[in-house]
Amino acid sequence: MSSSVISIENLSQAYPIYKKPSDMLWETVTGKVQHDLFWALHNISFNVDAGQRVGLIGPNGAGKSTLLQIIAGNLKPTSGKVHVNGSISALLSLAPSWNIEESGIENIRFNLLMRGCDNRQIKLLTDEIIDFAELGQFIYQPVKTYSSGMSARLSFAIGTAISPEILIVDEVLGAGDGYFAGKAVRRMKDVCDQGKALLFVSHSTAAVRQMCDTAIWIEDGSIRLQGSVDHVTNMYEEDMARSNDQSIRLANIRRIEKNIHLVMPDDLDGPDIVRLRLRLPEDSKTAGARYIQEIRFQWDSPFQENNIQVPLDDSNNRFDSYLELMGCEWGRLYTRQNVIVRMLTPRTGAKKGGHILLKRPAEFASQAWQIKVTWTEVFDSSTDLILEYVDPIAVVWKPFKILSKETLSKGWIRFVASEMLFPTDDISIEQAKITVKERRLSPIEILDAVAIGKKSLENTIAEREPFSIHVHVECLDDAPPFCLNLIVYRTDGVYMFWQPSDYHRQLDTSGAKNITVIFNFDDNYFSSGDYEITAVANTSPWHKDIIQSETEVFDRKTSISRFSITKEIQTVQFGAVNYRARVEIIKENDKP
Amino acid sequence: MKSIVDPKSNLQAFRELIILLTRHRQLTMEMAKREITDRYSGQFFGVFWAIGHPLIMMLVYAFIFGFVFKVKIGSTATMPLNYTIYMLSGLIPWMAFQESMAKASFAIVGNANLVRQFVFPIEVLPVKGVIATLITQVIFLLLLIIYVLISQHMLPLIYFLLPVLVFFQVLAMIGVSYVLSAIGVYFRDIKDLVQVFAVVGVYLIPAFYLPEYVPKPFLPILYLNPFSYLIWCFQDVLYFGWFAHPMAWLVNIVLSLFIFIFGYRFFRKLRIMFGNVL
Repeated sequence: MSSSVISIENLSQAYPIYKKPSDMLWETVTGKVQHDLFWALHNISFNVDAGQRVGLIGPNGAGKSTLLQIIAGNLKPTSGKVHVNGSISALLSLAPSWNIEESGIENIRFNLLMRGCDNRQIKLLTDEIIDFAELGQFIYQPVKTYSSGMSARLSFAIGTAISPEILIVDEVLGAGDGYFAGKAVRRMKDVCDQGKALLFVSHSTAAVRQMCDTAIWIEDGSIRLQGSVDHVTNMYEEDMARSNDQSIRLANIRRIEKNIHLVMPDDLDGPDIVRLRLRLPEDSKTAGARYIQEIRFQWDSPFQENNIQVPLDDSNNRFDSYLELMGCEWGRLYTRQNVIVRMLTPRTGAKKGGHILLKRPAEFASQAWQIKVTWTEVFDSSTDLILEYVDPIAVVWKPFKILSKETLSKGWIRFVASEMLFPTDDISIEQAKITVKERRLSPIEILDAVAIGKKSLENTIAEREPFSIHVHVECLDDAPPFCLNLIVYRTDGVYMFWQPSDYHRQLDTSGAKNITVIFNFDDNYFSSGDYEITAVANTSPWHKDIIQSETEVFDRKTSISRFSITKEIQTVQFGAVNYRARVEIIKENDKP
Repeated sequence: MKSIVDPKSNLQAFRELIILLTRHRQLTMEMAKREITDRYSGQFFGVFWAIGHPLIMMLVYAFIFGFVFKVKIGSTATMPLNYTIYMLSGLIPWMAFQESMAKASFAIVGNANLVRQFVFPIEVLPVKGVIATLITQVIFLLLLIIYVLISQHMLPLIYFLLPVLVFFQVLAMIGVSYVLSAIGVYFRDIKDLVQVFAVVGVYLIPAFYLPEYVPKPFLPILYLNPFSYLIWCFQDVLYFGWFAHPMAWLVNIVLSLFIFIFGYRFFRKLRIMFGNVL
């Protein structure tokens, strides 16, 4: 505790949402609450120790910036404790307080004044800032003549000049050239080496990996994962890639409808857990959020505990029943008409529906369990939600029988559903796992990709050395002809290369189970560095039966593998964007 | 409610505010400078408008009341100076005051970006508008002094109290600015209310007329209006040349000090929620 520079305990932040502005006035006049609350952050706890560099990652709107503003003292949290031990310098926005008519010098003075410097300090720091920003004579010119990179440099120089004890940076390295970015990284590391702390927010995992030693992954206002920077950023990238791929694959509506009842590998739990989900019907046209107020399980039992309510504001398996908040469609907490509700928001790339886990009581471990589920939601949509549970025997989601639907006051509506849950055991769960694994959603699956040089190791190629990328694909019997797209990015996200396998002509992919598509780089134009391969299999544009608009993506694997190009003696500057590789395919395991 | 008059917490707030304003005086000055230059940047006549706008208003008032209505105040044995000086001695502090109120009502809202994205003492934001308008007022006061000097060839000794009077006026303006800027965050209509008040208020102060002219039933309005006391003090110095309204001085000084401290305490209470509302 004593070494913590920042300690945050159960921090929550809610924003009031007014339906119309006059409600706000009405509320202040009468004192009667007229607003809903949107919980931007919920129950965040972490510590930052002296010298620690913490990266905050997460998708847009996860609550990262809100968190930074609270730590910087610009927002007052709704509840929880924030303890900051030291002076803070915050670069919360790219643009400092510029007066664009004034020169760089005058703006330096103004911004240093804002940060509480006196004349003596200003004199001292101004030279240092000018040195660091390297703007030359431009420092005497009005800021309006600066490029965005130049103002980013000046802004960064000012922000880090007063060597704060805690530096908070929100996406500031975005602008500025590579040379300055390197300088900025060194400066930030210097700041941390003086026994101070850094909080760094970025969308770029590469930047976080470079800057930080620990990372916190924030999603939907809660901490999803925290730990060493490599672990967290890897998990985050994996998750991003997966949801990316999933959303591409699920873009095909016909397939969604066919597969929505199928159980996915991580939907299977032990025999003592029942997994349920509340979801929108597949033909639902409305994409708006639903608000779930209460979920309750009841059953007949000679024992006492036969009526449990699912806590909506927490996800913790010490409860008998809890929500699985991450990776499915549960959204933020929301306070509606003074009642805390959980949002259910349809989203692509996540598991369908909001998942609920229920522990099976020991008394029903080996006998059928008749349960009744009651849930209350606000009724502002014409379609009812569907409640389903995992049947590990049939390995599908099965719906509950709806017993009643009752309209309560203020537009709340209560559903009662019931179902008989039969016992399972470890063996049938194992069986189900095998079934899931063997069941293929796509007729074509990309297995892996590897870069092979003429003489060197796999995935390690020397500069200018000819090499080829082999992509292994597995096809089902009824697989249509496909086209394989190879996309190469540098690991910092720079696009390098993209080519469909039948760029020149259609390759015959029919009649084989295992196909290797080879992209030959007879001339290697990649400069030294690390690269990532993404592979996408879709319908061949040459295929005569296919209308262009019906192009279907069979499989997509983002960052399926990495390769690196090692530096040779002669350094050449070149790129591969316009290069076309020679493509060939190898078929194995010919079908009879 | 009790704590509003509690001397200990008031004294503490007073000390806190004085320390804060002295520590950040350079920032305040720099911001006031920016306020003036930003406001008129890119305009042909530029900063001239800071003087030009109130100057034209005063000329219009002087024309309407002095020449069209031919109001006869002054040029007597007890009130030797002419009507224009009578009118201006009330209008100058009033216009500065209402200008600072208009600025204050969006001092925080108009700088929402700064408040949200920077860590700095936002207490200086309402003060910078006061400083900016004060500059205009000082220029007008100097012009008035020159006018009096030219027309009377002398200045009453009491003119030396002018800085003291301006000092207490500044305290009151800062206090009112704190209140209005804090309310403005939650209740944005305040800036329109202030504008309406500026138009109406000029007739609620004894600037164009003598209190004796007001019909008896309406007299309480004049005496309940705190701005009247400020105007009387300025008239004492600039026009009458002696303490014609001794009670007004007492009321003005006490009220200024009170609103200065109360305004800051009000602002301090509400400021922690600014970021959440903006």
